[in-house]
Amino acid sequence: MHNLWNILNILNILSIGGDVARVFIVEDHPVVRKGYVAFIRREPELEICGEAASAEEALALLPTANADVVVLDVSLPGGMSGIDLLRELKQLFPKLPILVVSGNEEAVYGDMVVSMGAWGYVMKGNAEVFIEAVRTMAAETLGGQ
Amino acid sequence: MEAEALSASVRLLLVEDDEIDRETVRRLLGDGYVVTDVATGKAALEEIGAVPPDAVLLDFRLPDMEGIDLIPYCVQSFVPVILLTGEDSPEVIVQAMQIGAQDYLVKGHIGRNALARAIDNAIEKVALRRDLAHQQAQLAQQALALERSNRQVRALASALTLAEQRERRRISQILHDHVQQMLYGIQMRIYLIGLDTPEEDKTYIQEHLTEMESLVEEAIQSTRTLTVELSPPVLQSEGLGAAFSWLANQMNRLYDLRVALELAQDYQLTSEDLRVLIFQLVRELLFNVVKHAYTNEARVVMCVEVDRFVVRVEDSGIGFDPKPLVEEQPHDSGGFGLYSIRERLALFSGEVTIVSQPGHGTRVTLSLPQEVALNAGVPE
Repeated sequence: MHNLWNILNILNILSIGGDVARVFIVEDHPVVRKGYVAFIRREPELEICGEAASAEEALALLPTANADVVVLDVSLPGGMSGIDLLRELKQLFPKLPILVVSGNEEAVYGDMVVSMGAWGYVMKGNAEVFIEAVRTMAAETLGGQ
Repeated sequence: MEAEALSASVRLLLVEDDEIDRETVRRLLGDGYVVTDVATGKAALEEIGAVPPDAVLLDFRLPDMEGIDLIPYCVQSFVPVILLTGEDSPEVIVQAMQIGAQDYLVKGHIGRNALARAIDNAIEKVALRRDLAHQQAQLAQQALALERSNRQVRALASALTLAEQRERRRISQILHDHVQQMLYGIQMRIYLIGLDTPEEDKTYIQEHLTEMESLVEEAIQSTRTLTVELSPPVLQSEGLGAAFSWLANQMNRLYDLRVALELAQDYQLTSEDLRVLIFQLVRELLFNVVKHAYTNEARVVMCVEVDRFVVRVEDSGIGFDPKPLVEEQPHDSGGFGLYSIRERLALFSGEVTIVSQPGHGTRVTLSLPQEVALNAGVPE
């Protein structure tokens, strides 16, 4: 019985069994946002459940988006930065995994956002690293459910 | 001869209560003077106030006051005074000369020529004194005007620096928020083309894709470097603490300088201009350590000391004599180094102090009044 549970769990982690992770994207620049969407649409185990171009929009949409994971850009327009939004989201949804992306080197934000509760940090400018990070975050999340 | 020529138009005020003395003096003066006489101090003051005479002949003892009490009024109005005294009053003479009388004559021993000479000399002395005072006043005015222009020049220089900072920030922001994002978009699309192209077609386009990827990568790197050089993006959204951490990391990575940070807390500064300024000054000072100090360690301290917000950059390198730097002016060596730091800080009522000597490291302290630099409530 125990073995069977383990196998089911592994299948779950590998997304074998039809589970799809719902990804919410917070990115102000439409070109980048469309790029993320294009990436995620071609991944069978991922789907887009919402997009926001600002922190305020994200806060309005996320409660009903039923997101499994969030991709969050550090630089957002308006009064609330990506860092502010991360802080807010960790309070509202403590278990929601958030991948922070930024054009800045990891040294700037990497440690800080992880210590604030982000799932991880990737630097913009490497598409392969980005999609791999989203895949891993999604698999871990679905596996842990 | 000279005395006669001058005396032609001279108007005298004779302040004398004794009628005999008055008549004696009038006789000695002859016809060359226009003489008005009064017998009291009060009348003399009124006369001086109404039409200041060219000179006053003043009896040392008047019925309503001491003659010398009139002297300060005369000095103030640039009216020469010659005291007429008795033989028995040397102390009055000394006092009168000290407070501004031009000359004295002892009654009973006054000669016609001596009187004329005394009057001419006194008028000339006071005229010189008045010219001097006038020139001094002009000089003082010129000094004031010069100081005003200097202040304007300083304010313009500072405004120019701030304008430059803002422009750098604006260009940096365009690069970061727009150009870089487009490049990321292009990069993703190139990657997606690679993924979505069937294997059999890849041979035709792979070479082009690889070339495009490398070009975009190079463009991203260039804009990143330029963005950071113009104004680090980290400074646009976070407090000084995060910016200093980033700077320390950069200095270590690019210049092998290990920067220890001692930040009492991440203070919230009153303006973005000031935050950017402090950051840029610290960066300039750390560059100085890299270039001149011959050490690979430095320390940045940020705290509040007494009632001043303090940011200090220290190193234990070779040090230098700061005196020539402290006296540096903007035209010296065409540089804006320390002068510029001083001027830029002065715009926010800040100061810079340098402690250094050859062989004993350098400590540069930037300090500003706490109420100018920091928001009330302090922590960010």
